[in-house]
Amino acid sequence: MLSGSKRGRSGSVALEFAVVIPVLIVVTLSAFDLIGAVTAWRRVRAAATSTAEIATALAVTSSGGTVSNVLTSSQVNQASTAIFAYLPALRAATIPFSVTLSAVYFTPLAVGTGCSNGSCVCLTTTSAASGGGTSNSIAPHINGTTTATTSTTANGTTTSITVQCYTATTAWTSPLPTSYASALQSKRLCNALLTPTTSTAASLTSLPMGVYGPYSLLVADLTYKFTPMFLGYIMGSITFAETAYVPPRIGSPGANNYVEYSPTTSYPPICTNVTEPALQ
Amino acid sequence: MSEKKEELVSKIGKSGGARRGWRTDLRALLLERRSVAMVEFAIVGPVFVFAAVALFEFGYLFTTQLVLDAWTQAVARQIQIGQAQQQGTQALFNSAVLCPGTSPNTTPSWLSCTRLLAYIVPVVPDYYNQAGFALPTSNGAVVPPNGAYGFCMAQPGQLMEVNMVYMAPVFLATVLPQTITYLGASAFALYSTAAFGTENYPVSGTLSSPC
Repeated sequence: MLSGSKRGRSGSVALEFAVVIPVLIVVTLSAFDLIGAVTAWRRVRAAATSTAEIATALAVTSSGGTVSNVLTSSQVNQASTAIFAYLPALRAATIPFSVTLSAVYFTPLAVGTGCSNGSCVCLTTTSAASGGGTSNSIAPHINGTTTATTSTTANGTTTSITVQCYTATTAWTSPLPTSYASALQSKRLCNALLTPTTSTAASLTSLPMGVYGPYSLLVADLTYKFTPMFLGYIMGSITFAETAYVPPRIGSPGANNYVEYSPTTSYPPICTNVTEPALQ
Repeated sequence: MSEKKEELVSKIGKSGGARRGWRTDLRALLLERRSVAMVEFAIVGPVFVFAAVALFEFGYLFTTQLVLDAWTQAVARQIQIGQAQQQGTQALFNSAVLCPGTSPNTTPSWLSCTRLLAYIVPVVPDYYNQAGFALPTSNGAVVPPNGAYGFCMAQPGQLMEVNMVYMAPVFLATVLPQTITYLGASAFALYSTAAFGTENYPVSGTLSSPC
């Protein structure tokens, strides 16, 4: 005859096993899913950078010593398809993703003008000159007023402070056409100022305040819906959104200071009523 | 512990005496608690050792993947700016760009160039329509390509793709999916891609094997 205590102990072992095993299985499977998610996220990041980099490289056209930055629609498509090199599975047309390539330029605000509604970024340039040399620092902040350089001298050090405010506008914005797998259509905010933000989260209506400055940018916004292999049944999909900000190659003085889109009248849709700003 | 149990347990390991029935022996063995830790370790130990080895294995593969990505980016940039094309031949490209002995891009010493496969191709017309590539295999094993197995010299303003594959050696070949034989041992293929457009770099003379 087995004693009561013996039977009780074997029961507790089985119970412990029953409690621990599902936890161990979930931990193991989530480790696999985590690796998959991190890999996918890194590839989306690489694809975003790559898209903007390819566009800046292909845009450069040199003619008689004059360098201009112009992209044709086929070049925009070439750059925007870079995501297929990093995530080949997207060709299967069952995974939602989006690629949006845009050109953004910054308009300098004249002395005495600025903003207080969060629509501009002001760069405060501080230059301290003394017998030992000159040191410079630039600090961006949302809101402010453009001011001419003011200098003060104290203890042999001359400190000059200049504030220059900028607003950001989308020159043109181009989603990857629907003919490419299951590309979702998304555009950057047009015909309104982009909102400067201190957040690093990607958004089609805003720009990080750190990218504001005199030079234009090519902006690539990518999203990719990732479904974990195992935990997808419980937690569903994760959408990775990554944005890359890349300045174009420097053009000849007097040329347009953002990468133009040509032809400007055909697909993909572009922003209308765009007035090109003068080169700084 | 009951007196009956004490009696049964005390019989274990004792030789001689009256012949006992096998049921008595079995019951005594079941009640014996002296070697429980050893038996438990015999069951858990291999699982534990396996988990520890697997941890190192995944750590190694993940680190190698990161290094391979940086390696691929470095090679791609050399091609993008036209430096790689200055080498003239594929052999020089292999030794000077892909696997440089001394340069800022030198890879960690625990990675071997004999395990690297590079595939460098022009992209026409875009990445969506680009054909995939397959590893060169023979009898179920990957054939060492001795350098780049897809190769051409990128021209200025050209859309390019660089694929690099590192045949990482693995211990746990039986549990890892997609392992393949390379240089007579099991390996796990790590992939890295760089998509880029080349600069309008100046070309002096003519490129050998242009893309």
